[in-house]
Amino acid sequence: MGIKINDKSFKKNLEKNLNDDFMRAAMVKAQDLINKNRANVLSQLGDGNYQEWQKLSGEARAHAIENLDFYLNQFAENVVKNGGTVFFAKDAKEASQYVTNLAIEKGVKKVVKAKSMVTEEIGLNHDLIDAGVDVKETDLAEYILQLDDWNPPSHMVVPSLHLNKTQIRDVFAKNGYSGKDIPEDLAAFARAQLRNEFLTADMGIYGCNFAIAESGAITLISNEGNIDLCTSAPELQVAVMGMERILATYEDADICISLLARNAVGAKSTSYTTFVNGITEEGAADGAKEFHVVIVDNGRSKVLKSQFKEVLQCMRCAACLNICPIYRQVGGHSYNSIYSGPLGVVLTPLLAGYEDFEELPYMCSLCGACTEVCPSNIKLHSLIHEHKRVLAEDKKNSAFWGVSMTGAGKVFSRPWMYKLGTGIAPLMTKPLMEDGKIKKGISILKGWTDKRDMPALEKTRFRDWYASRSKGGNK
Amino acid sequence: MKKGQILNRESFISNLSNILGREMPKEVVHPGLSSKPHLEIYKGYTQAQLAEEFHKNAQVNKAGSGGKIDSLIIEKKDLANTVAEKLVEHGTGPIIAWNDERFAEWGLNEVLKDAYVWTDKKGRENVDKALEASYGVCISDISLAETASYTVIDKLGKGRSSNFLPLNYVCIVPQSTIVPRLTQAMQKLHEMSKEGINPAAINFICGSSSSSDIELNKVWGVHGPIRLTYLIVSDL
Repeated sequence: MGIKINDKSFKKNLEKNLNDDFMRAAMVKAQDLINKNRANVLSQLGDGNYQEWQKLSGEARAHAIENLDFYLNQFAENVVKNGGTVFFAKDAKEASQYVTNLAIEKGVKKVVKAKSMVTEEIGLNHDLIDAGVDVKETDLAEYILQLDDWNPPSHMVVPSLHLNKTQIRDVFAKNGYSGKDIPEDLAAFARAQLRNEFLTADMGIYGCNFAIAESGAITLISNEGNIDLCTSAPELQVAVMGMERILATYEDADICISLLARNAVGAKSTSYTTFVNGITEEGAADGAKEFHVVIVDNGRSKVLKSQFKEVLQCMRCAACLNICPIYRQVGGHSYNSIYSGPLGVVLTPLLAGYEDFEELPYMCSLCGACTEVCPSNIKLHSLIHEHKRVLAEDKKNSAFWGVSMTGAGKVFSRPWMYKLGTGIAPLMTKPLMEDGKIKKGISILKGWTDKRDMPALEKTRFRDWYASRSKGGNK
Repeated sequence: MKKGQILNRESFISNLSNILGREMPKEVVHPGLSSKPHLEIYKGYTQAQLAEEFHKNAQVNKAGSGGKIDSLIIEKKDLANTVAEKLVEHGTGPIIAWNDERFAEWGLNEVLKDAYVWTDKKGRENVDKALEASYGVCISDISLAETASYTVIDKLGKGRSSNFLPLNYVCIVPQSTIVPRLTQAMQKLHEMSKEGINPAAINFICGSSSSSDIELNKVWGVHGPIRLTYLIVSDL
């Protein structure tokens, strides 16, 4: 799949999703529920001073990113001490090819996968399938999406949020399910289908929440337990991680893990927090006999070099999605990227370029809520603002936008033009009005008035009204 | 493919060093965290108080799981009977247990006499037995009061699959293993790592397998055990 989830225009994606009433209601429900639970568990974290923990987490992540070369090297050395092999991949192609070639070389027929965004990013599933390997996603949501003809994820933590239970029932029905659209029954069907897959797979592939440099451990956090089965059953295992997932020490991991589940799903902890340290003891009946870690750059080093490097501190908890008023309205697919919400707005153009994603920075009202909640202390809204600046000043990628902004600049910097403009604006907008409201906007106004009415412009300008009051007027 | 290689390291790491504007340092001094709020949680609590907190938080987990999680504080003298009760609570069925001499020390031989005992040299048979098992029985290595988590540190005789495949799970939590939170467990792993001991897997577990992927409805047992019972033993 890669980062981009389809070839439709930004506007087409947006239109489609704005008309998906179920999806939009699901986003609202998810945000409300998770944020309520999040507030509750954060208030119970020690003395309830979340900002202090947030600061510490930001320090730990920033320290690792500032010393990425050292800690990645230390991590790799320790993985080898633990019996594993490390492959440094400069791009998606190298990373995916390494895993695919490994599968071919080892005669792998079936792979079980646990949720991993970076394997989506590098398009690994399709390369494996093209190589004749049977790929089974095992996270319930990812399993649903795979059966639904690889429907893209719409949320980082709840990837199938955009599908309702009837749609899921229909997807399962095509694969032998004959029951009703009852979540418990659907989950039981998935359990029955998936359990044996773990035990018959030749290879397990999973992601990495954090990599601990001091020991070479891969940390994995989940509620379902599928990751634990992926790390238990297959003899050949591969962890794929973005290079920024590194942490220096277990103490740093403590702080970050303590914030991850709380921010992601509003729980003190997920059911399973797992540390994998390479191959198992000699003679063990299960666990990895061969263990590989693929560390992926794929554009991250360019980010490290840029003014956006702070975004590498992200721990993919989705707190920013869960608070974002734009995400709430448009849903994850509208970002046309596997990385959605404010994090996606910042990260996607950096990894995949502005060409396909120049609209993304405008999916933000700069309200700053994402920055407030971010457990890695990333100033997300400032980075989004910086994207806008780059697009406006450096890229100058839209003639229309450039002309509009130049025009606006001239008007706002010349009082006589501003006065004239605000004076005639009510008259100019009169043809667009119905029942005292602007309902038929043109150009950039249309995006607003297509969805809601805009109040009519007052005939009296604020400055005139204020001057009149100052002189004792009564209006 | 040989084990224990690092491939493409030089170009990858030197690129990062260039970007960071220096050569890769030979050593980095970790600045340490600017404050330590994580050390304050349950600071100064006795083992008995920590056991109470563990139990309280397990009760919170129980409420959130609609009863799929249970927790009891018992004494060692009552352990055998309580395990026996718990191993039939959700219907009788095959049992799998670790190969751990503490079961015998704690008087559980009779209760576990029909259990399949994980024996690594039997290879795949262990995994098949775990898959068939209605109940698994284990002992927590480190227990976290704040989240009511038990920990399994991988070792021969324990069997990773035996911890995730049975339908129901009974975990014996010796009070002496309870620490305030993840912080103390991380300190232990740090110390072990300094001595060159990095167990292949360390699993922190605080619930049954659950998912909210279908319209945010919480469902249980998509993959791992559906029910979990903690037996906190106050004098172990």
